[in-house]
Amino acid sequence: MRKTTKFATLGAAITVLTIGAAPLLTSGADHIEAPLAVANRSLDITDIYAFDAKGSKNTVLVINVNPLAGVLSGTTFSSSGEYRFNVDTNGDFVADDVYAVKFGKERHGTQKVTLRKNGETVLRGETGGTIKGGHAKLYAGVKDDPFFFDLASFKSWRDPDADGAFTYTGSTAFAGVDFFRGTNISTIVLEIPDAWLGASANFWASTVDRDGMTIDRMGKPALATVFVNPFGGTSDKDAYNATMPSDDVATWAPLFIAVESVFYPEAGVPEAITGLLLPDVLHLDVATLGKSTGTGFTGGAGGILNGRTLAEDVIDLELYVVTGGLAGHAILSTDGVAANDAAFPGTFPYLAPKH
Amino acid sequence: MTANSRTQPVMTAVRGRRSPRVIGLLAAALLVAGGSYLGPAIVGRFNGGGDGSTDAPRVVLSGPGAAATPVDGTSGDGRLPLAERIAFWSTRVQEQPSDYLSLVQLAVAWSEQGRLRLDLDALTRASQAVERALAIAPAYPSAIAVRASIRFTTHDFSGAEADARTVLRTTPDDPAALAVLGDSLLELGRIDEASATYEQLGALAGGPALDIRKARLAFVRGNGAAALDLARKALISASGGGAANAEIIDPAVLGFYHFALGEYARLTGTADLAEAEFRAAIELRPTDLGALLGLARVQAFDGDLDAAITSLESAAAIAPTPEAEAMLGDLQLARAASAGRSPEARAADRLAAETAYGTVRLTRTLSALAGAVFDRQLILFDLDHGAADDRTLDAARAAFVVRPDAAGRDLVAWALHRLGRDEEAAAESRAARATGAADARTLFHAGAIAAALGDRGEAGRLIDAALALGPGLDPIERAEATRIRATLDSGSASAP
Repeated sequence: MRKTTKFATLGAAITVLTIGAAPLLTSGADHIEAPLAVANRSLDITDIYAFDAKGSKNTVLVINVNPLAGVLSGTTFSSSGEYRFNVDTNGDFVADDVYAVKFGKERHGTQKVTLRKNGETVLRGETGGTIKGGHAKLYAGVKDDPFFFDLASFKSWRDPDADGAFTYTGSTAFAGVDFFRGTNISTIVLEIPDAWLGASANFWASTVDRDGMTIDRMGKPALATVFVNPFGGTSDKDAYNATMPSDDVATWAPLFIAVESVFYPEAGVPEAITGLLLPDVLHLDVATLGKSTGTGFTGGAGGILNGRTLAEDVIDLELYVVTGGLAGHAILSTDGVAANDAAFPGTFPYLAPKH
Repeated sequence: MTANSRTQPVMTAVRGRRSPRVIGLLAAALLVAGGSYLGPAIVGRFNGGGDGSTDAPRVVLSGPGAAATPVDGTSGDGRLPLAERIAFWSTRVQEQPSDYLSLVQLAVAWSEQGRLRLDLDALTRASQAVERALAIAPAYPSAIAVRASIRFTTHDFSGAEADARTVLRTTPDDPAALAVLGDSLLELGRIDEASATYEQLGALAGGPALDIRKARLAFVRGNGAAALDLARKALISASGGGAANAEIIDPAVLGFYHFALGEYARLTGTADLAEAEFRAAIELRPTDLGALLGLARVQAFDGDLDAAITSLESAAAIAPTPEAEAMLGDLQLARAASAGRSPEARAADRLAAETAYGTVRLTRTLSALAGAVFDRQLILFDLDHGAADDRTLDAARAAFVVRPDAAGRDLVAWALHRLGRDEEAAAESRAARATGAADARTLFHAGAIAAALGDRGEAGRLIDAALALGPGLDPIERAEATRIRATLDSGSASAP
């Protein structure tokens, strides 16, 4: 599961596409309309990943944007905003290192790319190819969306009459159809030495617009989707996106506990699960990073999610955990989709080629 | 300006001489009538090419933009051409017929095509797709929001209003639903409610899409200067306000704002600005119907009949709307009557005019949707081409029930005038202008009605005001207004 905005891309956000029925009086009697299909999807984070670069002492960090690139979204990166890999190395959930990626305007199908670490330029190059130097590697371009999920069945379960108010009472028999099959995203893949992270770190991604305003942020998969807008209607997702991870517990724990209480009547369990989930970052135990398989969600070092691989079935895990599995009464334990529709190449930049 | 436009109807029926345009329209109608639900051929799996970007702050209804390249059918923001997006969603729907999410997206893509090309078949498919989605998920707010937009486009304004209100009950601050609600209220003549809705929208989101709506509101209230200012402001912000770091936006979107400014310039009588903006719009999107039509009006006003006819032929080739075909016929007859034209050329002009008028007459028989979308254009055609009768008046009244705004009331007034019922016509015309409407057509109609009632002072004042708005009047209207003005000067009253 991903964040509300991503699900909403297929629901609420598409209304942005239709907003442009701007009428204009013509000849005093009729009107003509134009589509104003503009949404801010190039800064819309769909997923982040963090895993071990096999055969080297490197770690791979990934930020994906532009959901359904080429169909719903464009295929280029914002040339006025910024993409940030935020890394907290001392455990206070405040970024100690910021790897910021900026893009130039699109020219003949490519964009110039600059990577800065804490303001110092590390790499320069162009989209669509591997950029190396200074012990780092960077790729930015269009690839297969590695995410896999039966979105339609999930939505039907959450909101069986689809009236926008979520009841979680629909059919638990998911069809197992991957909505994201055959779809692309724009990805930024950053490979850095393990040493830059230390023994353990916290990683989250954020995007900011030209004015420095945070547009989106993401750590663990799904949190905003499940918890920030738990019963439908007007969403707090913008407020959630604007919150710093160090403020997550104080700001959002009560809501998370309230939602988990729906699925867990057991005293103390909602609080315990909330403690696992917040702050909303991916924890990285660098020595064991990327070794988790499906069951690693709560089984990694320290009992917390340890990074996120491309192939990891985070949906099954989260459906299980969120809907009561930890107390032995999961409503759901799988969406019926077990793998991505395209095979991962296993070499940099790791994502499958675009469709 | 056009020196010799004529108002006499062409009585010759079109028999056995249907142009390819007409045949194309008939084919489209068959598709609409048959309701076939086949997507276009699958073009292949999409691959995203990096050619452009879409980027705007969330709360802006339309993004800042900068340079854009001429395209047609492609979005210009790095997305696939529209036909391929339609194919993408069609394939998904075929693979999984219960996938209502993809059905909604398919509806969005079809309706985009429908709006860009006034393609009634595409709008019908959009409507079918969204109804299929709603059959699966009857209360899905996104589907209802999309249906609201499609209903607006197909002139079901009450339906659009109802759908928008349904969405707003779940999400009271949904900007898209507020926009459709405000637009629908404006079409329904509920100007103050529309204004309040736009204010509500403005509290949530700004940007050119809001400004251009406010421009329309200002124009409907009779404030052309404010409309022009707002249209200019909308274009500047759609163009990125000149910022060096502005992102590229969809050329069709940027083109729309050039067209919009051109249209308000034309309606307020600024021919030079109008022409420049229409040309800018056409450069960005050569198939921009509205801009081609606007350009033709300005060219006709400047007396360049050949250029105007060429522009109209381009517009009619894209979509043979009654408005374009009627003006094409008018200008071809005007050219046939111009001095120095050879007998053969005159005959060709007259034949072409008959074909154009024949296309207009066929439109209403094509489908209920065509009749609904083009109702006012068809009624106005009859009223200005000698075909007014009681049925035309009934049609004008019926159109006014569906869309009770000032232009609709003016059309009722004009129908009454054509039937010689000028006392009633004057009352309707006054009611039309009571909300502030002061566009060239409404003023001209009011003046002609006053002239028929013998009120020369009022008639002269109104007709002069209409004529002062230059290309705001269509050529055929300008010719008639000029003729009536002359009779006022010469002291004889004008008959309808």
